[in-house]
Amino acid sequence: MGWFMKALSTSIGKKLLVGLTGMFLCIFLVVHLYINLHLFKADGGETFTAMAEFMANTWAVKVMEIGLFLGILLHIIYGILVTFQNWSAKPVGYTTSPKPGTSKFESRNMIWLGLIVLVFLVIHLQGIYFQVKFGTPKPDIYHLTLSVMKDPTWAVIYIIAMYALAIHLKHGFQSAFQTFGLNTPKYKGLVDLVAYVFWIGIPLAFASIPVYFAFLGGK
Amino acid sequence: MMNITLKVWRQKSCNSQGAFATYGVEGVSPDMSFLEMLDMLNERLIKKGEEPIAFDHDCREGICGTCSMVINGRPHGPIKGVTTCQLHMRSFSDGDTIVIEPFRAKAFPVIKDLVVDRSSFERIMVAGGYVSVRTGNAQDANALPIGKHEADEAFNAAACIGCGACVASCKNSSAMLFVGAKVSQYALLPQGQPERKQRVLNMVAAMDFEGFGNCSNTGACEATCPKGIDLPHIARLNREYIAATLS
Repeated sequence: MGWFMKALSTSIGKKLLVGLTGMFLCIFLVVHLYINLHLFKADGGETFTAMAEFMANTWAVKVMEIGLFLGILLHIIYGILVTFQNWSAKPVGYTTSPKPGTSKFESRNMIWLGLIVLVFLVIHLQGIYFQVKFGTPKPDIYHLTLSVMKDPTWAVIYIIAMYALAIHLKHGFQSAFQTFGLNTPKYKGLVDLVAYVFWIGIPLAFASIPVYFAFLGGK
Repeated sequence: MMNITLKVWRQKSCNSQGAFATYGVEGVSPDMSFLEMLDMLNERLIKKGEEPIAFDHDCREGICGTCSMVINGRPHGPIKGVTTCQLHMRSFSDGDTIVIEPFRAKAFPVIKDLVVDRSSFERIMVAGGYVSVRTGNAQDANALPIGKHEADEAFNAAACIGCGACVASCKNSSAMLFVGAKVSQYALLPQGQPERKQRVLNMVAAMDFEGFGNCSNTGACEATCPKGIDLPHIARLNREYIAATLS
């Protein structure tokens, strides 16, 4: 294991861990979105509740849940480590900045965008996940989720968080493939296309749910 | 003839505090190179009994990688694919104010004025920038067939002159474009195979030890590299590192 830990302590190793955990979290986003989209189904929450119960009561999902929290933790810790190392490598900046700039907004602000997503995650867990998991009496997940989505204040918080997530993914998704060494001329077109669909599509689909229920009169 | 105002970073030594000094440079020919303009200013400063501006330069042909400095926020100045020594004053306009700063990075400490210590690059090269060659006569070059694509890619990587503009432009002072070019150059050629795995591990370890930052895949290095070294070399460095670690 010595070689493994040594590899993870290098600059490329740290970036790889951030990228791998990021990709794992992206897979989770797809699964989460798939379930959430069933809120649109006019069946009184039957399918949504069944899916939520499956997620809550299947042992394989419970194991994945531990992996998910571990993934989030590693993504945050290594993301912070990389950022602090980057800041210390450039102790003095330049007086003038070239026009147009040579770095994009999202690549400069990954840590802050990630922080917005983290704050949202804590609020989100407190508002829904912990209520369903540990609340007494346990609330009905469908009606609890729907009440959150129908609240305009919550809806605005969701939309802001999804915007931050989108910009975070805009850089993070394609950047991870570069770190994996796959962003070569052969695959760049495919990576860029998937990244484009992902960073716009996933947050937009998530945000469409509170917009529909809070502002467009969704029942 | 042009009249230019320069705001130049002046710093007596690595441990002293630096500050910008403003100089008016009159009678600048548009055909002068940027360094010739600085030479002219330095001659005037010496005649006035002032300390000339220290800056690195050597070949003045764009091939040695010695000239550095950040001009108006961009390493090597505003023209893409050009080193400072090949930059001409016709790229500026009469009455312009030009800000000149040294390359900024923890791993490139300022020695004096615009001169920075780039020996960290040398130490990365010592860690892996070599090939093993048996003693005796050189074999026939045709005995080592190399594909056209590989040869071209290796040549593109070998165009890196190690000037450090990639580090200077990177917001994280990452040296990964430089290391990526060097690792690529050898990994693509048969001569580089014996040390292939150890090279990438050693060079990355040396890069980290020197205090360079991590690559954020922003591309500022690619945009400012005077020799057109591109990001796929960093992707290859990452592949080489993963393969060397896992095998």
